[in-house]
Amino acid sequence: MTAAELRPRVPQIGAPRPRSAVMRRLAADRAELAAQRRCFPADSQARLRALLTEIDEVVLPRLLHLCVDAREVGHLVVSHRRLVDIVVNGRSAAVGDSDDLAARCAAALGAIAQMRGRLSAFVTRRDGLRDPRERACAVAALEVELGLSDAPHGFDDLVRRVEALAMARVWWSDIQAPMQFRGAPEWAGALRTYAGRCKGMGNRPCADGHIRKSRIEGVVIPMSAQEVLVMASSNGAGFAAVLPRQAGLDALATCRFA
Amino acid sequence: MTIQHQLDRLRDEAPGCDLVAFGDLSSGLILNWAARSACQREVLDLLMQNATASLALLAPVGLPGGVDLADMGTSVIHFTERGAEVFVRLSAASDEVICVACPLDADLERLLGSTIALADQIEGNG
Repeated sequence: MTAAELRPRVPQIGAPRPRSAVMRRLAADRAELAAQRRCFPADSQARLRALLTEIDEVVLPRLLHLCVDAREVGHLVVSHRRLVDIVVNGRSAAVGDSDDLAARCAAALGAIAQMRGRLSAFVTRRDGLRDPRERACAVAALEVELGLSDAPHGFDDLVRRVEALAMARVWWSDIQAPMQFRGAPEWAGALRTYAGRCKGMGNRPCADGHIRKSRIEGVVIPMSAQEVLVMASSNGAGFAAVLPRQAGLDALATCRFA
Repeated sequence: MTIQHQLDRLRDEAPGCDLVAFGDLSSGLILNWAARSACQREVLDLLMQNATASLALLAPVGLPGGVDLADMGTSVIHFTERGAEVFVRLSAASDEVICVACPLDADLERLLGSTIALADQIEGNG
């Protein structure tokens, strides 16, 4: 018998599982959950994907205990398909400004993905009541922070369409950058004023941390039967533009935001 | 017809209308709503927040000729990568607002027209 055959068979996280296995896992009691130790892929990118998949599949409050070469190094607190906290070597990612939670959690996930050794995990139920002030981040937000999402391309697509249609527009590359103007000069003053109001709209704090913050946010203001004013921002960049009404609305409806 | 019946009718008849609500900007509350599926209070609260923030952008300033100032100040469409929301005040000075949530690829022009018509009906002009 070879060494590989002697090693306990540990299912790999991220591998496709039948629905019955997922249902069994949801119904499992504490002892069963703890017994289901599974390993993560060795490749860092695959490991990162597997961690995100794991978060995305957990609905009830759970602790995902992480072990490197069988030594526990920390745990993920997961609930309602969202990451509440990562504690690695006693350090919590949830401590600090809630606006930066996704960035801190993403950095911690990245560090876990890079860990040397054989990474495995087992799950236990999370006891105790949830703190109502608790914040959490969804997998989509983590993907953006980790550079695994193509979300910014959606905004680029909108910008391209607006550039092609605009009678006049102002734009800015980040929240501190000066606005630039191009187009019919009679719109310059008004567009700068509206753009000033729009700047930072996407940075409004979300009153409920459980509703995912938008990556792209904007408004369309009907100006007349022929024209609309479209303003949008994403990650600090943005624009305000006057467009032909129907073409502007069509551009929005067909934009590839996904 | 009550406001609730009018909201129900818009939800049923307007293509793409997932949720229609009647709210008060001064208190920040949704007073009546009709949705295609169960709707959490948090979603309604966020809808009202978006209405308040979006309508606050409207005040006309330094606009060139050709802009219809009678229309401006009553309606705005808010959008994110996940969907769109149409907000129409009953009048430029009113705190009462109709909010419609829909997918981004809905016929926004048609939904805007239906929402303005509903606002006119509730205001007593329709």
